[in-house]
Amino acid sequence: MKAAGAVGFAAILNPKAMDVPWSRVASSRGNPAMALIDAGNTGDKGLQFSLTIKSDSGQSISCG
Amino acid sequence: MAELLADADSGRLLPHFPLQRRIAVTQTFVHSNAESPNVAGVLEGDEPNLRNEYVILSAHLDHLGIGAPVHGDRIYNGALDNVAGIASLIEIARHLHDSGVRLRRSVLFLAVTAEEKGELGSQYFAAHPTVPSGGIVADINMDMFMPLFPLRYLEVQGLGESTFGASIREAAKDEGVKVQADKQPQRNRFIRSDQYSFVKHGIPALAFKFGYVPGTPEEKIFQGWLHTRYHAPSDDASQLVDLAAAAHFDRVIERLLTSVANDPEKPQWLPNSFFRRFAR
Repeated sequence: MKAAGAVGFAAILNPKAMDVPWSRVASSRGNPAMALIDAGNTGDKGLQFSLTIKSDSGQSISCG
Repeated sequence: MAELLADADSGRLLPHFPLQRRIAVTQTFVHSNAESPNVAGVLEGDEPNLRNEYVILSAHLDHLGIGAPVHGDRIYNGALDNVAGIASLIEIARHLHDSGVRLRRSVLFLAVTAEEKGELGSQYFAAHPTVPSGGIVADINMDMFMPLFPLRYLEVQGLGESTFGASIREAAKDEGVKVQADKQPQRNRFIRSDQYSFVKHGIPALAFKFGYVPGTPEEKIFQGWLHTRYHAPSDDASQLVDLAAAAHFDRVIERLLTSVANDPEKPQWLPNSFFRRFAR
């Protein structure tokens, strides 16, 4: 993804595929992220941003 | 949005289109380095031409630590995710050692760190193994296998991907357990735990959950646990774990481990497996 110019990704959650309620997803937003220093074998090297969007809000993001 | 979700639910390819909004984000990063070890132990194989091949039995040793409070509790204990996996790892290792059984291949008991941060420990180990990388023939991964009711059905992720599937069917049958394929493949659980770190290096792998028949009380228990305790402080020692069922699970996994370690043939990807592309 970085090679394609992306600095991160945004994902809209599908409520039918969520293992945990949105409240627990939202409460984990402050958890620190970790990455291997030796990240040569991962596809997300250099990505520094991720955004998770509740499906209720996805409408305004995707369709204005 | 409803149209997109319907497409996703039915497995159709999602359309591409320009988004109608822009999002501006300002982030401040605080970087620091941390070290967290994997822990490994080896039971050496007995057969000279196979003892340099390794079957890995893995489980992750980390959980979420201290986080946002839920009902005033900030300690995320991880009893089933994945203390139970580590307990099984230790118990199977202890039992194999104490029984004095001699296996043809070697077994690597591997407790990996930082699964919850993106399978970092297993990724590192798979890229930098402590044994010759070409010698790792399989990974059996135990992550949140959910011993909440008697083990009548075992759901196996990766069941239809390699010859390993036949091995777990045989091991489960010998313990009176029926094997089920992944009931929710759309959740991609086969690529969501440490086994995938090995799959990406071409190594066949399996992972497990206690199975159930849809519509039964067991399904309600399973789904209820996900809703209330998964990645919550209440995944703790107070919950009703079926210890006899957990011991039954250990026996199935030990049978599988033993059969793969003694099989003259290594597990192989099946010809139609998506993951065969990683084979080396």
